[in-house]
Amino acid sequence: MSRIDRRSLLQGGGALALTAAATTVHAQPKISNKAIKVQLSPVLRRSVNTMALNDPMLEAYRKAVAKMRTLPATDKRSWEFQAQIHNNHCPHGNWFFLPWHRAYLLAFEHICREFSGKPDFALPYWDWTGNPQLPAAFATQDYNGQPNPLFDANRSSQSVTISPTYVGAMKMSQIYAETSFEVFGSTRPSGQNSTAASWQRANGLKGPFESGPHDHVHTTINGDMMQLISPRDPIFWLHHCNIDRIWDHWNSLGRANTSDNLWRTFAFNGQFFNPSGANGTTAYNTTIAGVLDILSLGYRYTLPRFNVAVTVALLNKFINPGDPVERIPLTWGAAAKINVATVAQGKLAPPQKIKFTNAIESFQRLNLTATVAKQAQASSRIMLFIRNAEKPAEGNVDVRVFVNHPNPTADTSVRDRHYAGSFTFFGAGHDHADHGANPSYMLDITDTVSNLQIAGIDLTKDINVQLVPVPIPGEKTASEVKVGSIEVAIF
Amino acid sequence: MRSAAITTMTRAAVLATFVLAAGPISAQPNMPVATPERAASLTVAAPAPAAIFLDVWIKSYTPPEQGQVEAVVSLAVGDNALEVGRFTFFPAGPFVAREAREERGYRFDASAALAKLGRDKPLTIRVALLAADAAKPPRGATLTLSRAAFSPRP
Repeated sequence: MSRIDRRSLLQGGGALALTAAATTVHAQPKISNKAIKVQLSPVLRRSVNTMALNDPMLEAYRKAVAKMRTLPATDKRSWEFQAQIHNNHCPHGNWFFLPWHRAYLLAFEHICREFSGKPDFALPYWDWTGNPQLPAAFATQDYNGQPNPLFDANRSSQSVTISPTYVGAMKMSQIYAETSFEVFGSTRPSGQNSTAASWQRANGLKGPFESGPHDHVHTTINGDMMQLISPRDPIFWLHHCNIDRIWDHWNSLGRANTSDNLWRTFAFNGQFFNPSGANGTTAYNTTIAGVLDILSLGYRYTLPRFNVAVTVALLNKFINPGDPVERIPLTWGAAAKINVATVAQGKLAPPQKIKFTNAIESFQRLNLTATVAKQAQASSRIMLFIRNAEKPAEGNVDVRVFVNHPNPTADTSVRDRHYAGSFTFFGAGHDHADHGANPSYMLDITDTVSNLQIAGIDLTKDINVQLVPVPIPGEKTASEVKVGSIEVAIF
Repeated sequence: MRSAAITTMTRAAVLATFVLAAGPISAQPNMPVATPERAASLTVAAPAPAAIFLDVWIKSYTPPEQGQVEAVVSLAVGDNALEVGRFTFFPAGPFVAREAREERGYRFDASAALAKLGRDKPLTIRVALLAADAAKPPRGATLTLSRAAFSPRP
């Protein structure tokens, strides 16, 4: 997939940005005035770090867990039966570790969906790199005056903090850097020469991912989490959801799973059960090959992506400056050296927040070809439009764009994870400057939003955009920057 | 003269015998059992040029009477030791491998350590047991190393 670098899209010496602006804005491209909502199907598994205690997913999880706990151990949907599945079948220390737990979590998620009554329930994950403390939702004995279903009294402590030696960013970068699946995902069982079920729990070599973050979280939480009956602790499922997410992210970095058929064709039969009917279950049997594409399994961890061709096609068809899409107030950041107060005044609308919605409307309505529609359904872009930016009368500035940064300044690094790109005013402050129509800029903030989500920063409710004017060395600094409007469009 | 020569030869023989008995200068005696007081150590043959991983197999483990331990794995030449990784025990209960296939194995990236220690001589694998919680001394914990080897990228 070809990608246009976001900086080149904006700057490219400014020319590309202006060219894009000329294509999309000066030519009056249209945004549909029907709110383009993106229905996430597959469901989006989110970080518990970003959830309030009463987040609908947590409420649903509590309800499901409470229900499962009431069922007898003989009921395959019961809390105890699900824990015994792990006790009796889970592979550790070999290359079945990751796929087995993926299938295990999937069936469990289906049960939670059934018992919570929430058809789009998605298991949250605990990103212990982003927040190494046991999530608060699991640490209190009571919730809203009732016993907390997510509490486990057997833990050594409810204020557990996982050591960064095992789960910190540096450790995780080493894990992600590994390119071999039989190191990242642990090795095949020693001597495996068939796909007989007896190999499932045969020992191989634990790689640093399993022996490091995975094992250490288990042993640090202690209590039920210390042994193979660990799913009795409700945090188990969020822990393994993070393990699964990391595997998915490792793949997204271009790391390939093994192609060995001793792995791919290995079957997990008679171990997992999906809910069926009012009180029943059906067996969920699968080979490893059947669990390698999480989208086909019905879930995802990141925002989807369009390829650029589809993005441009949609922009050309649907952008209309007069018809805002999900246009909600935008919050402005502060700049250290420029009078930003000017930016908030004059032609600008009052400070606003941009609300992100993750509902997708039917692509048939966009009259896309079947090929493009298929591509579109697999991905989307979040595009930021900065319209009618008034060139400074004197001087120039570089305007840096941040997403959901708590306090950006002119000194905030462009390597900051919140940094999305920048724009400047081509020819501003020079005698030969173009004194024609005010330029507009288009910025793709999809990567930034996605990376922030991966870092556990929740953007599913609000996306805040900060514009920070920064002096350009060697050029006179403009005293004010004015923009006409800012919009975010999600395709 | 003859008796002086014999004396010299005898001295040399004694010295040679002593040197042979002591073994190569870089070799350390194998001590496969680790306790909180003493690390386990195994001597491993010099790695092949393509070898970058250290594979370690554990034959048995006894958890401490209280608290947790973590096992710190190092490569060493003499007193120069470099950590290659560490792990905790999950599942956390005791185990004894009755045969090789029951042993628990761990793989670590040793490329950085090998780059510093060199590949032209045998190395010593050391596994030390450390308290995971300083407030809970890990009394009674033991770990028995079975074997260790270097391996290339799969």
